Amino acid sequence: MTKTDLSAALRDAISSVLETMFFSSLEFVDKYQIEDWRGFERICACRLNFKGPLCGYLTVLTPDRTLGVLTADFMGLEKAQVTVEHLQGALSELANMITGDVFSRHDPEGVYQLELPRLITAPGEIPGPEKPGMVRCHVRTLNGPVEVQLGITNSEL
Amino acid sequence: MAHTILIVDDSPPMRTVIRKTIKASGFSSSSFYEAGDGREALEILKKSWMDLVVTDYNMPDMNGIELITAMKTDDILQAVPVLMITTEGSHQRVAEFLAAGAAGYVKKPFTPEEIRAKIIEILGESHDEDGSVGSAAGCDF
Repeated sequence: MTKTDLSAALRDAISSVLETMFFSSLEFVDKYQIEDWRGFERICACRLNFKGPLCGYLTVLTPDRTLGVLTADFMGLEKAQVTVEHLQGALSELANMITGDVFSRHDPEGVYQLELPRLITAPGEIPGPEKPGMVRCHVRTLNGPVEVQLGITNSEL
Repeated sequence: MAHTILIVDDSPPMRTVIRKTIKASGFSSSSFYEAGDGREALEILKKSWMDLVVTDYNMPDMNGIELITAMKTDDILQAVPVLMITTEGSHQRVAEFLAAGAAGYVKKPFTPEEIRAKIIEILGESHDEDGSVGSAAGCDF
């Protein structure tokens, strides 16, 4: 396993989930661009831990306004109909589907146990700069940025 | 023919998405029930007959395989087909679903076409109330 392989699987999983289930067009950017996140007051985040041949976590971060549009498109609702519960559920499903899809692509023979996604409210829990063992994907959608961080804790990338 | 379908998923938004996808796939006249986990699903199944159960795998209280296993030990419920819709995609896990008795399997993320094809495989051709054959093409949420 190389970091490049895992990064490619993560990109493919993000594209598949956002395009198929959230009807969102997207582009990947190579580096974190602070201007992508300017003007958004609240960031929503969700973390899902997994165990298997690889152990670690996947975190999805996106501004609340971006999440609102993604949730409305996901559920087939008008934006005004979206509730906080919908936002939380959609973000959890986004993390859940990306994690499952990454390992279906990267290691279809491996059996992974996905824990239930949990929303992150304490800023300290959100991983900051890229750490060893972490793959990050920076995504631009028409309605704002999405960042996905995949951290591996039992193996060196 | 209108069917009665039970959707089991711990995520309310995902239950909504699955219900809308099934309705848009030529089953708009079907009746839908929803449960948040396997245990809740069993309670509904003991009260109301279902033509199909559509269930997630990873749920907090009784997962999808445990639900199928419980249904297979019941003289009446063992006849109800179960379609798994889940993020779990490993070959071994899919084999476990089918060995437990799942009638079919769809991986998330899914398209309406995939859902429609699998449900028709299980229940037969879909016809809405106007007699038209259901089509996932151009589905409108």
